[in-house]
Amino acid sequence: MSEAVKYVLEASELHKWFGNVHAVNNVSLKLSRGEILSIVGPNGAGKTTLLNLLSGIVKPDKGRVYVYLNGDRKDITGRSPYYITFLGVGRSFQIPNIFDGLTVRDNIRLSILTYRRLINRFNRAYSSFNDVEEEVEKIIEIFSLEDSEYRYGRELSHGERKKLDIALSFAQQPNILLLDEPTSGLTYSEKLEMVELIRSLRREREVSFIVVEHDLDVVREVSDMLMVMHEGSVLAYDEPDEVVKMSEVISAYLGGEVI
Amino acid sequence: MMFKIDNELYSLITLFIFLAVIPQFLSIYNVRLLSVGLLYGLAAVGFNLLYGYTGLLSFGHAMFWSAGAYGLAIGLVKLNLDPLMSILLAFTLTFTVAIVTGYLSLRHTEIYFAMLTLAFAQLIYALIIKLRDITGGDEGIYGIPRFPSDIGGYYYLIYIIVFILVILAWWIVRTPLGLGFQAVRDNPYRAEALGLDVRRVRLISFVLSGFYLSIAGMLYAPLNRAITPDIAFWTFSAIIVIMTIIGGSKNVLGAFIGGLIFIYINTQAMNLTEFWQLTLGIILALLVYLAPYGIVGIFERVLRYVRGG
Repeated sequence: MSEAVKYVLEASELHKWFGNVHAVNNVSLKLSRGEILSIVGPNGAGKTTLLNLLSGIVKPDKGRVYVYLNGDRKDITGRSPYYITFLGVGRSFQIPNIFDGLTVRDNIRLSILTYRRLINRFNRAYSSFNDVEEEVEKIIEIFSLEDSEYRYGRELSHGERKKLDIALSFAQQPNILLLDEPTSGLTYSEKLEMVELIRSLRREREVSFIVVEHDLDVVREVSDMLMVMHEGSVLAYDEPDEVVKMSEVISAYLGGEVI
Repeated sequence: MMFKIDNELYSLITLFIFLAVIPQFLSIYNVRLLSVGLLYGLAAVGFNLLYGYTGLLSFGHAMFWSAGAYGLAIGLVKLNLDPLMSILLAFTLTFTVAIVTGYLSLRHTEIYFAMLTLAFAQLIYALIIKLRDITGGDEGIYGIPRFPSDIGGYYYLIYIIVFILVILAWWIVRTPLGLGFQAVRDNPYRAEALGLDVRRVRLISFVLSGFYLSIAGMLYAPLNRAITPDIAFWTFSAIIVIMTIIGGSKNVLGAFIGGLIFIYINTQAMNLTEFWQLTLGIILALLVYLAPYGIVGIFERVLRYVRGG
Protein backbone atom coordinates (compact mmCIF):
# COMPACT_ATOMS: atom_id res chain seq x y z
CA MET A 1 0.00 0.00 0.00
CA SER A 2 1.37 3.40 -0.87
CA GLU A 3 1.93 6.00 1.85
CA ALA A 4 -0.87 8.21 0.65
CA VAL A 5 -3.44 5.44 0.71
CA LYS A 6 -2.30 4.00 4.00
CA TYR A 7 -2.23 7.15 6.08
CA VAL A 8 -5.01 9.56 6.93
CA LEU A 9 -3.41 12.05 9.32
CA GLU A 10 0.07 13.16 10.16
CA ALA A 11 1.55 15.55 12.68
CA SER A 12 5.18 16.52 12.59
CA GLU A 13 7.15 18.08 15.42
CA LEU A 14 4.28 19.99 17.01
CA HIS A 15 5.06 22.52 19.72
CA LYS A 16 2.73 24.65 21.79
CA TRP A 17 3.57 26.98 24.65
CA PHE A 18 1.08 28.55 27.02
CA GLY A 19 3.20 31.27 28.64
CA ASN A 20 6.13 29.34 30.16
CA VAL A 21 4.39 26.01 30.00
CA HIS A 22 5.54 23.81 27.15
CA ALA A 23 2.14 22.15 26.77
CA VAL A 24 3.04 20.13 23.68
CA ASN A 25 6.72 19.41 23.13
CA ASN A 26 7.85 18.00 19.80
CA VAL A 27 5.03 15.55 19.15
CA SER A 28 4.89 13.66 15.85
CA LEU A 29 2.46 10.96 14.85
CA LYS A 30 1.08 9.12 11.84
CA LEU A 31 -2.38 7.64 11.78
CA SER A 32 -3.27 4.82 9.35
CA ARG A 33 -6.66 4.16 7.82
CA GLY A 34 -8.88 2.34 10.32
CA GLU A 35 -6.32 2.60 13.09
CA ILE A 36 -7.21 3.33 16.70
CA LEU A 37 -4.48 5.34 18.37
CA SER A 38 -4.90 6.00 22.05
CA ILE A 39 -3.12 8.72 23.94
CA VAL A 40 -2.82 8.28 27.69
CA GLY A 41 -1.14 10.34 30.36
CA PRO A 42 -1.82 12.13 33.62
CA ASN A 43 -3.69 15.41 33.89
CA GLY A 44 -1.81 18.25 32.27
CA ALA A 45 0.20 15.95 30.01
CA GLY A 46 -0.92 17.89 26.95
CA LYS A 47 -3.34 15.30 25.55
CA THR A 48 -6.26 17.64 25.05
CA THR A 49 -3.99 20.38 23.71
CA LEU A 50 -2.67 17.91 21.15
CA LEU A 51 -6.25 17.16 20.02
CA ASN A 52 -6.92 20.90 19.83
CA LEU A 53 -3.84 21.34 17.63
CA LEU A 54 -4.95 18.55 15.32
CA SER A 55 -8.52 19.85 15.01
CA GLY A 56 -7.48 23.47 14.51
CA ILE A 57 -9.05 24.86 17.68
CA VAL A 58 -5.56 25.89 18.86
CA LYS A 59 -2.81 26.89 16.43
CA PRO A 60 0.60 25.24 16.92
CA ASP A 61 3.62 27.50 17.59
CA LYS A 62 5.81 25.13 15.59
CA GLY A 63 5.26 22.03 13.46
CA ARG A 64 2.77 21.00 10.79
CA VAL A 65 -0.43 18.98 10.57
CA TYR A 66 -1.43 17.13 7.41
CA VAL A 67 -4.45 15.16 6.28
CA TYR A 68 -4.42 12.75 3.36
CA LEU A 69 -7.20 13.32 0.89
CA ASN A 70 -7.66 11.20 -2.24
CA GLY A 71 -4.00 10.33 -2.16
CA ASP A 72 -2.73 13.86 -1.64
CA ARG A 73 -1.07 15.12 1.50
CA LYS A 74 -2.71 18.39 2.44
CA ASP A 75 -1.22 20.85 4.92
CA ILE A 76 -3.93 22.02 7.33
CA THR A 77 -1.71 23.79 9.86
CA GLY A 78 -3.36 26.93 11.17
CA ARG A 79 -6.61 26.36 9.26
CA SER A 80 -9.94 26.98 10.98
CA PRO A 81 -11.83 24.17 12.78
CA TYR A 82 -14.63 24.83 10.31
CA TYR A 83 -12.39 24.04 7.34
CA ILE A 84 -10.79 21.02 9.00
CA THR A 85 -14.21 19.58 9.81
CA PHE A 86 -15.13 19.65 6.15
CA LEU A 87 -11.94 17.73 5.33
CA GLY A 88 -13.27 14.82 7.38
CA VAL A 89 -11.77 15.36 10.81
CA GLY A 90 -14.44 15.22 13.51
CA ARG A 91 -14.01 15.47 17.24
CA SER A 92 -15.81 15.02 20.50
CA PHE A 93 -15.19 16.88 23.72
CA GLN A 94 -14.24 15.97 27.26
CA ILE A 95 -17.29 17.74 28.64
CA PRO A 96 -20.10 16.62 26.36
CA ASN A 97 -20.76 19.39 23.92
CA ILE A 98 -24.28 19.15 22.54
CA PHE A 99 -27.27 21.41 21.90
CA ASP A 100 -29.35 21.48 25.08
CA GLY A 101 -32.37 23.23 23.61
CA LEU A 102 -32.78 20.78 20.72
CA THR A 103 -34.07 17.22 20.79
CA VAL A 104 -31.65 14.36 20.15
CA ARG A 105 -33.13 14.04 16.68
CA ASP A 106 -32.69 17.75 15.93
CA ASN A 107 -29.12 17.63 17.27
CA ILE A 108 -28.27 14.94 14.72
CA ARG A 109 -30.28 16.61 11.95
CA LEU A 110 -28.33 19.81 12.51
CA SER A 111 -25.05 17.98 12.18
CA ILE A 112 -26.06 16.28 8.93
CA LEU A 113 -27.69 19.37 7.41
CA THR A 114 -24.53 21.37 8.14
CA TYR A 115 -22.32 18.70 6.66
CA ARG A 116 -24.42 18.51 3.51
CA ARG A 117 -24.41 22.29 3.24
CA LEU A 118 -28.18 22.48 3.46
CA ILE A 119 -28.12 24.56 6.64
CA ASN A 120 -28.78 27.91 4.97
CA ARG A 121 -31.91 26.69 3.20
CA PHE A 122 -35.22 28.20 4.24
CA ASN A 123 -37.57 26.93 1.56
CA ARG A 124 -38.23 23.60 3.25
CA ALA A 125 -38.82 22.36 6.79
CA TYR A 126 -35.64 20.98 8.29
CA SER A 127 -37.38 17.66 8.88
CA SER A 128 -38.43 17.24 5.25
CA PHE A 129 -35.19 16.05 3.64
CA ASN A 130 -35.74 12.32 3.09
CA ASP A 131 -32.13 11.28 2.69
CA VAL A 132 -31.18 13.29 5.79
CA GLU A 133 -33.96 11.60 7.76
CA GLU A 134 -32.73 8.15 6.66
CA GLU A 135 -29.25 9.04 7.84
CA VAL A 136 -30.65 10.31 11.17
CA GLU A 137 -32.39 6.95 11.68
CA LYS A 138 -29.16 5.12 11.00
CA ILE A 139 -27.16 7.23 13.45
CA ILE A 140 -29.80 6.83 16.17
CA GLU A 141 -29.67 3.07 15.66
CA ILE A 142 -25.86 2.82 15.66
CA PHE A 143 -25.65 4.84 18.88
CA SER A 144 -28.70 3.12 20.47
CA LEU A 145 -30.40 6.45 21.14
CA GLU A 146 -33.89 5.18 20.21
CA ASP A 147 -35.28 5.70 23.69
CA SER A 148 -34.26 9.31 23.89
CA GLU A 149 -34.64 10.61 20.34
CA TYR A 150 -37.45 13.05 21.23
CA ARG A 151 -35.91 14.25 24.49
CA TYR A 152 -34.09 17.55 24.74
CA GLY A 153 -30.34 17.66 25.16
CA ARG A 154 -30.69 19.10 28.66
CA GLU A 155 -32.78 16.09 29.74
CA LEU A 156 -30.16 13.47 28.90
CA SER A 157 -28.00 11.50 31.32
CA HIS A 158 -24.23 11.96 31.27
CA GLY A 159 -23.73 8.74 29.34
CA GLU A 160 -26.32 9.69 26.74
CA ARG A 161 -24.74 13.12 26.36
CA LYS A 162 -21.36 11.48 25.73
CA LYS A 163 -22.86 9.25 23.06
CA LEU A 164 -24.73 12.10 21.41
CA ASP A 165 -21.57 14.20 21.38
CA ILE A 166 -19.74 11.49 19.43
CA ALA A 167 -22.82 10.88 17.26
CA LEU A 168 -22.80 14.54 16.20
CA SER A 169 -19.27 14.16 14.88
CA PHE A 170 -19.86 10.70 13.43
CA ALA A 171 -22.91 11.94 11.52
CA GLN A 172 -20.61 14.08 9.38
CA GLN A 173 -18.99 10.96 7.91
CA PRO A 174 -15.49 11.74 9.12
CA ASN A 175 -12.44 9.76 8.06
CA ILE A 176 -10.90 10.56 11.40
CA LEU A 177 -12.54 10.98 14.80
CA LEU A 178 -10.69 12.65 17.65
CA LEU A 179 -12.31 11.62 20.94
CA ASP A 180 -11.44 13.41 24.17
CA GLU A 181 -11.92 11.07 27.14
CA PRO A 182 -15.01 9.32 25.76
CA THR A 183 -15.39 7.19 28.89
CA SER A 184 -14.79 9.75 31.63
CA GLY A 185 -17.58 9.85 34.17
CA LEU A 186 -19.19 6.69 32.82
CA THR A 187 -20.03 3.62 34.87
CA TYR A 188 -18.08 0.43 34.22
CA SER A 189 -20.78 -1.07 32.01
CA GLU A 190 -21.16 2.18 30.10
CA LYS A 191 -17.40 2.18 29.54
CA LEU A 192 -17.58 -1.30 28.01
CA GLU A 193 -20.47 -0.15 25.85
CA MET A 194 -18.44 2.85 24.67
CA VAL A 195 -15.45 0.67 23.75
CA GLU A 196 -17.77 -1.62 21.83
CA LEU A 197 -19.26 1.43 20.11
CA ILE A 198 -15.84 2.68 18.99
CA ARG A 199 -15.09 -0.77 17.56
CA SER A 200 -18.39 -0.88 15.71
CA LEU A 201 -17.88 2.60 14.27
CA ARG A 202 -14.57 1.48 12.85
CA ARG A 203 -16.16 -1.63 11.38
CA GLU A 204 -19.08 0.35 9.99
CA ARG A 205 -17.18 3.02 8.06
CA GLU A 206 -13.44 2.38 8.43
CA VAL A 207 -13.02 5.45 10.57
CA SER A 208 -9.62 6.08 12.16
CA PHE A 209 -9.57 7.19 15.76
CA ILE A 210 -7.38 9.13 18.11
CA VAL A 211 -8.73 8.51 21.58
CA VAL A 212 -7.45 10.53 24.51
CA GLU A 213 -7.90 8.58 27.72
CA HIS A 214 -7.10 8.70 31.35
CA ASP A 215 -7.80 5.09 31.93
CA LEU A 216 -5.19 2.74 30.45
CA ASP A 217 -7.35 -0.36 31.06
CA VAL A 218 -10.06 0.99 28.82
CA VAL A 219 -7.85 1.61 25.81
CA ARG A 220 -5.32 -1.18 26.04
CA GLU A 221 -7.64 -3.66 24.47
CA VAL A 222 -9.17 -1.51 21.79
CA SER A 223 -6.04 0.30 20.55
CA ASP A 224 -3.76 -0.56 17.65
CA MET A 225 -1.21 1.96 18.81
CA LEU A 226 -0.63 3.61 22.15
CA MET A 227 1.06 6.90 22.94
CA VAL A 228 2.02 7.92 26.46
CA MET A 229 2.44 11.62 27.13
CA HIS A 230 3.95 13.32 30.13
CA GLU A 231 4.43 17.05 30.60
CA GLY A 232 3.95 17.72 26.92
CA SER A 233 6.42 15.12 25.64
CA VAL A 234 5.95 11.66 24.18
CA LEU A 235 7.31 9.00 26.54
CA ALA A 236 6.31 6.07 24.38
CA TYR A 237 4.59 5.49 21.05
CA ASP A 238 4.22 1.85 20.05
CA GLU A 239 1.90 -1.14 20.05
CA PRO A 240 0.09 -1.42 23.39
CA ASP A 241 1.89 -4.53 24.63
CA GLU A 242 5.30 -3.02 23.88
CA VAL A 243 4.40 0.21 25.66
CA VAL A 244 3.28 -1.53 28.80
CA LYS A 245 6.58 -3.36 28.97
CA MET A 246 8.61 -0.20 28.97
CA SER A 247 9.93 0.54 32.41
CA GLU A 248 10.22 4.26 31.80
CA VAL A 249 6.52 4.44 31.26
CA ILE A 250 5.73 2.27 34.20
CA SER A 251 7.59 4.59 36.53
CA ALA A 252 6.27 7.82 35.09
CA TYR A 253 2.69 6.86 34.52
CA LEU A 254 1.58 3.47 35.66
CA GLY A 255 3.65 3.61 38.83
CA GLY A 256 2.44 7.12 39.46
CA GLU A 257 -1.23 7.45 39.76
CA VAL A 258 -2.89 4.53 38.07
CA ILE A 259 -1.58 1.51 39.94
CA MET B 1 -44.64 16.53 3.40
CA MET B 2 -43.47 20.10 3.20
CA PHE B 3 -44.50 21.07 6.73
CA LYS B 4 -46.39 19.76 9.70
CA ILE B 5 -49.24 21.75 11.18
CA ASP B 6 -48.55 22.02 14.88
CA ASN B 7 -50.23 23.50 17.95
CA GLU B 8 -48.37 26.75 17.63
CA LEU B 9 -49.65 27.31 14.10
CA TYR B 10 -53.21 26.41 15.16
CA SER B 11 -52.99 28.93 17.99
CA LEU B 12 -51.59 31.62 15.72
CA ILE B 13 -54.27 31.12 13.08
CA THR B 14 -57.04 31.09 15.69
CA LEU B 15 -55.63 34.31 17.11
CA PHE B 16 -55.51 35.91 13.67
CA ILE B 17 -59.10 34.89 12.89
CA PHE B 18 -60.08 36.61 16.13
CA LEU B 19 -58.01 39.67 15.14
CA ALA B 20 -59.77 39.83 11.76
CA VAL B 21 -63.24 39.93 13.31
CA ILE B 22 -62.77 41.93 16.49
CA PRO B 23 -62.32 45.44 14.97
CA GLN B 24 -65.98 45.29 13.82
CA PHE B 25 -66.97 45.55 17.47
CA LEU B 26 -64.46 48.14 18.59
CA SER B 27 -64.42 51.93 18.70
CA ILE B 28 -62.01 53.83 16.44
CA TYR B 29 -59.84 54.51 19.49
CA ASN B 30 -59.58 50.82 20.26
CA VAL B 31 -58.97 49.80 16.63
CA ARG B 32 -56.10 52.25 16.66
CA LEU B 33 -54.78 50.76 19.88
CA LEU B 34 -55.09 47.27 18.42
CA SER B 35 -53.19 48.44 15.31
CA VAL B 36 -50.31 49.47 17.54
CA GLY B 37 -50.70 46.12 19.29
CA LEU B 38 -50.26 44.29 15.98
CA LEU B 39 -47.15 46.32 15.20
CA TYR B 40 -45.69 45.67 18.66
CA GLY B 41 -46.48 42.01 18.13
CA LEU B 42 -44.62 42.07 14.83
CA ALA B 43 -41.70 43.86 16.47
CA ALA B 44 -41.54 41.32 19.30
CA VAL B 45 -41.64 38.40 16.85
CA GLY B 46 -38.78 39.96 14.87
CA PHE B 47 -36.80 40.75 17.98
CA ASN B 48 -37.34 37.22 19.23
CA LEU B 49 -35.80 35.67 16.11
CA LEU B 50 -32.57 37.20 17.38
CA TYR B 51 -33.18 36.93 21.13
CA GLY B 52 -35.15 33.74 21.73
CA TYR B 53 -33.92 31.78 18.74
CA THR B 54 -30.35 32.95 18.15
CA GLY B 55 -29.55 33.80 21.77
CA LEU B 56 -28.47 37.40 21.27
CA LEU B 57 -29.95 40.14 23.45
CA SER B 58 -30.00 43.38 21.49
CA PHE B 59 -30.65 46.49 23.47
CA GLY B 60 -30.85 48.73 20.44
CA HIS B 61 -33.68 47.43 18.29
CA ALA B 62 -35.39 50.83 18.39
CA MET B 63 -32.88 51.82 15.71
CA PHE B 64 -34.53 49.50 13.19
CA TRP B 65 -38.06 50.60 14.03
CA SER B 66 -36.93 54.21 13.57
CA ALA B 67 -34.91 53.42 10.42
CA GLY B 68 -38.15 52.15 8.88
CA ALA B 69 -40.35 54.93 10.23
CA TYR B 70 -37.94 57.76 9.46
CA GLY B 71 -36.90 56.32 6.10
CA LEU B 72 -40.52 56.22 4.96
CA ALA B 73 -41.45 59.60 6.46
CA ILE B 74 -38.41 61.36 5.00
CA GLY B 75 -39.21 59.88 1.60
CA LEU B 76 -42.90 60.78 1.67
CA VAL B 77 -42.79 64.16 3.40
CA LYS B 78 -39.33 65.67 3.04
CA LEU B 79 -38.33 64.37 -0.39
CA ASN B 80 -41.82 64.09 -1.89
CA LEU B 81 -41.08 60.66 -3.29
CA ASP B 82 -43.84 58.28 -4.29
CA PRO B 83 -44.74 55.53 -1.77
CA LEU B 84 -42.78 52.81 -3.55
CA MET B 85 -39.58 54.87 -3.65
CA SER B 86 -40.09 55.84 -0.01
CA ILE B 87 -40.40 52.20 1.00
CA LEU B 88 -37.28 51.45 -1.00
CA LEU B 89 -35.48 54.29 0.79
CA ALA B 90 -36.58 52.92 4.18
CA PHE B 91 -35.38 49.42 3.27
CA THR B 92 -32.03 50.73 2.05
CA LEU B 93 -31.59 52.69 5.26
CA THR B 94 -32.51 49.65 7.37
CA PHE B 95 -30.19 47.38 5.44
CA THR B 96 -27.28 49.80 5.80
CA VAL B 97 -27.86 50.24 9.53
CA ALA B 98 -28.28 46.49 10.03
CA ILE B 99 -25.16 45.48 8.10
CA VAL B 100 -22.89 48.13 9.62
CA THR B 101 -24.05 47.78 13.24
CA GLY B 102 -24.35 44.01 12.87
CA TYR B 103 -20.86 43.64 11.50
CA LEU B 104 -19.40 45.77 14.27
CA SER B 105 -21.41 44.50 17.25
CA LEU B 106 -21.49 40.79 16.39
CA ARG B 107 -17.81 40.49 17.18
CA HIS B 108 -19.08 40.18 20.73
CA THR B 109 -21.89 38.34 22.50
CA GLU B 110 -23.90 38.56 25.71
CA ILE B 111 -23.63 41.80 27.68
CA TYR B 112 -20.98 43.28 25.36
CA PHE B 113 -23.24 42.76 22.38
CA ALA B 114 -26.17 44.31 24.29
CA MET B 115 -24.07 47.35 25.21
CA LEU B 116 -22.75 47.81 21.67
CA THR B 117 -26.22 47.67 20.14
CA LEU B 118 -27.37 50.16 22.79
CA ALA B 119 -24.49 52.46 21.88
CA PHE B 120 -25.23 52.28 18.14
CA ALA B 121 -28.92 52.92 18.74
CA GLN B 122 -28.12 55.99 20.82
CA LEU B 123 -25.79 57.15 18.07
CA ILE B 124 -28.70 56.94 15.63
CA TYR B 125 -30.89 58.79 18.13
CA ALA B 126 -28.28 61.57 18.33
CA LEU B 127 -28.12 61.73 14.53
CA ILE B 128 -31.90 62.11 14.31
CA ILE B 129 -31.80 64.98 16.82
CA LYS B 130 -28.89 66.69 15.07
CA LEU B 131 -29.86 66.29 11.42
CA ARG B 132 -32.73 68.72 11.88
CA ASP B 133 -33.11 69.55 8.17
CA ILE B 134 -33.79 65.97 7.21
CA THR B 135 -35.40 64.52 10.33
CA GLY B 136 -37.08 67.54 11.90
CA GLY B 137 -34.87 67.21 14.97
CA ASP B 138 -36.72 66.83 18.25
CA GLU B 139 -39.96 68.01 16.65
CA GLY B 140 -40.08 65.05 14.34
CA ILE B 141 -41.97 64.77 11.05
CA TYR B 142 -45.67 65.62 10.72
CA GLY B 143 -48.32 65.12 8.07
CA ILE B 144 -47.32 61.64 6.94
CA PRO B 145 -49.98 60.47 4.47
CA ARG B 146 -51.89 57.29 5.20
CA PHE B 147 -53.43 54.88 2.75
CA PRO B 148 -56.18 53.79 3.21
CA SER B 149 -56.75 56.98 5.12
CA ASP B 150 -59.38 55.67 7.57
CA ILE B 151 -58.12 53.76 10.61
CA GLY B 152 -60.49 50.86 9.99
CA GLY B 153 -59.08 50.30 6.51
CA TYR B 154 -55.48 50.86 7.54
CA TYR B 155 -55.91 48.28 10.31
CA TYR B 156 -56.44 45.61 7.67
CA LEU B 157 -53.37 46.64 5.71
CA ILE B 158 -51.35 46.24 8.91
CA TYR B 159 -53.18 43.01 9.66
CA ILE B 160 -52.30 41.39 6.32
CA ILE B 161 -48.63 42.30 6.46
CA VAL B 162 -48.28 41.28 10.12
CA PHE B 163 -50.08 38.00 9.44
CA ILE B 164 -47.74 37.14 6.57
CA LEU B 165 -44.60 38.05 8.50
CA VAL B 166 -45.60 36.25 11.70
CA ILE B 167 -46.39 33.07 9.77
CA LEU B 168 -43.10 33.54 7.91
CA ALA B 169 -41.27 33.68 11.26
CA TRP B 170 -43.09 30.53 12.37
CA TRP B 171 -41.89 28.95 9.13
CA ILE B 172 -38.29 30.16 9.27
CA VAL B 173 -37.62 28.62 12.67
CA ARG B 174 -38.69 25.28 11.22
CA THR B 175 -36.28 25.40 8.28
CA PRO B 176 -32.59 24.45 8.35
CA LEU B 177 -31.73 28.14 8.69
CA GLY B 178 -33.86 28.40 11.85
CA LEU B 179 -32.37 25.20 13.22
CA GLY B 180 -28.97 26.85 12.70
CA PHE B 181 -30.16 29.88 14.72
CA GLN B 182 -31.09 27.61 17.62
CA ALA B 183 -27.83 25.68 17.46
CA VAL B 184 -25.90 28.95 17.65
CA ARG B 185 -28.04 29.97 20.63
CA ASP B 186 -27.43 26.72 22.51
CA ASN B 187 -23.76 26.16 21.82
CA PRO B 188 -21.91 28.39 19.36
CA TYR B 189 -18.58 26.60 19.90
CA ARG B 190 -19.99 23.22 19.04
CA ALA B 191 -21.88 24.70 16.11
CA GLU B 192 -18.62 26.12 14.78
CA ALA B 193 -16.84 22.81 15.30
CA LEU B 194 -19.57 21.07 13.27
CA GLY B 195 -18.88 23.44 10.41
CA LEU B 196 -21.55 26.09 10.92
CA ASP B 197 -20.43 29.62 10.07
CA VAL B 198 -21.56 31.12 13.38
CA ARG B 199 -20.83 34.75 12.54
CA ARG B 200 -22.74 34.48 9.31
CA VAL B 201 -25.73 32.85 11.00
CA ARG B 202 -25.75 35.60 13.62
CA LEU B 203 -25.57 38.32 10.99
CA ILE B 204 -28.43 36.78 8.99
CA SER B 205 -30.56 36.62 12.14
CA PHE B 206 -29.64 40.19 13.09
CA VAL B 207 -30.50 41.63 9.68
CA LEU B 208 -33.69 39.58 9.39
CA SER B 209 -34.75 40.67 12.85
CA GLY B 210 -33.96 44.29 11.94
CA PHE B 211 -36.20 44.09 8.88
CA TYR B 212 -39.14 42.92 11.00
CA LEU B 213 -38.72 45.95 13.24
CA SER B 214 -38.25 48.22 10.26
CA ILE B 215 -41.46 47.07 8.59
CA ALA B 216 -43.30 47.58 11.88
CA GLY B 217 -41.88 51.11 12.03
CA MET B 218 -42.80 51.74 8.39
CA LEU B 219 -46.42 50.82 9.14
CA TYR B 220 -46.37 52.81 12.38
CA ALA B 221 -45.43 56.18 10.82
CA PRO B 222 -48.58 56.55 8.66
CA LEU B 223 -50.76 55.11 11.44
CA ASN B 224 -49.64 57.89 13.73
CA ARG B 225 -49.39 60.46 10.90
CA ALA B 226 -46.39 61.82 12.79
CA ILE B 227 -43.15 60.54 14.29
CA THR B 228 -40.91 61.96 16.98
CA PRO B 229 -37.38 60.90 18.01
CA ASP B 230 -38.60 59.07 21.11
CA ILE B 231 -39.11 56.00 18.89
CA ALA B 232 -35.32 55.94 18.55
CA PHE B 233 -34.57 56.47 22.23
CA TRP B 234 -33.17 53.59 24.30
CA THR B 235 -36.34 53.29 26.40
CA PHE B 236 -38.16 52.04 23.32
CA SER B 237 -35.48 49.38 22.83
CA ALA B 238 -36.14 48.35 26.44
CA ILE B 239 -39.88 48.14 25.75
CA ILE B 240 -39.22 45.77 22.84
CA VAL B 241 -37.21 43.52 25.17
CA ILE B 242 -39.83 43.70 27.94
CA MET B 243 -42.83 42.85 25.80
CA THR B 244 -41.04 39.83 24.35
CA ILE B 245 -40.21 38.54 27.81
CA ILE B 246 -43.77 39.18 29.05
CA GLY B 247 -45.24 37.10 26.24
CA GLY B 248 -42.57 34.43 26.27
CA SER B 249 -39.41 34.14 24.22
CA LYS B 250 -39.67 30.39 23.71
CA ASN B 251 -41.61 30.62 20.48
CA VAL B 252 -43.16 32.92 17.88
CA LEU B 253 -46.61 32.78 19.49
CA GLY B 254 -45.32 33.94 22.86
CA ALA B 255 -43.48 36.94 21.50
CA PHE B 256 -46.47 37.94 19.36
CA ILE B 257 -48.90 37.79 22.29
CA GLY B 258 -46.44 39.77 24.42
CA GLY B 259 -46.34 42.58 21.88
CA LEU B 260 -50.07 42.44 21.27
CA ILE B 261 -51.07 42.84 24.90
CA PHE B 262 -48.24 45.13 25.94
CA ILE B 263 -50.00 48.21 24.65
CA TYR B 264 -53.02 47.31 26.83
CA ILE B 265 -50.96 46.64 29.95
CA ASN B 266 -49.22 49.93 29.35
CA THR B 267 -52.44 51.93 28.81
CA GLN B 268 -54.17 50.31 31.78
CA ALA B 269 -51.18 50.95 33.99
CA MET B 270 -51.16 54.57 32.86
CA ASN B 271 -54.88 54.91 33.64
CA LEU B 272 -54.52 53.38 37.08
CA THR B 273 -51.62 55.36 38.35
CA GLU B 274 -49.17 57.98 37.28
CA PHE B 275 -46.43 55.62 38.44
CA TRP B 276 -47.17 53.37 35.49
CA GLN B 277 -43.54 52.48 35.01
CA LEU B 278 -43.55 51.09 38.53
CA THR B 279 -46.57 48.92 37.76
CA LEU B 280 -44.89 47.70 34.62
CA GLY B 281 -41.72 46.97 36.56
CA ILE B 282 -43.63 44.90 39.13
CA ILE B 283 -45.42 42.90 36.42
CA LEU B 284 -42.12 42.21 34.71
CA ALA B 285 -40.36 41.20 37.92
CA LEU B 286 -43.22 38.85 38.85
CA LEU B 287 -43.16 37.26 35.42
CA VAL B 288 -39.44 36.70 35.46
CA TYR B 289 -39.64 35.06 38.90
CA LEU B 290 -42.85 33.09 38.51
CA ALA B 291 -43.09 32.43 34.79
CA PRO B 292 -39.74 32.49 33.04
CA TYR B 293 -41.43 31.40 29.82
CA GLY B 294 -43.88 34.29 29.89
CA ILE B 295 -47.63 34.28 29.52
CA VAL B 296 -47.60 31.54 26.91
CA GLY B 297 -45.51 29.46 29.29
CA ILE B 298 -48.23 29.79 31.94
CA PHE B 299 -50.88 28.66 29.43
CA GLU B 300 -48.80 25.66 28.45
CA ARG B 301 -48.37 24.67 32.08
CA VAL B 302 -52.10 24.98 32.73
CA LEU B 303 -52.87 22.94 29.61
CA ARG B 304 -50.47 20.22 30.65
CA TYR B 305 -52.04 20.20 34.12
CA VAL B 306 -55.57 19.93 32.68
CA ARG B 307 -54.53 17.09 30.39
CA GLY B 308 -52.97 15.43 33.41
CA GLY B 309 -49.42 15.42 32.02
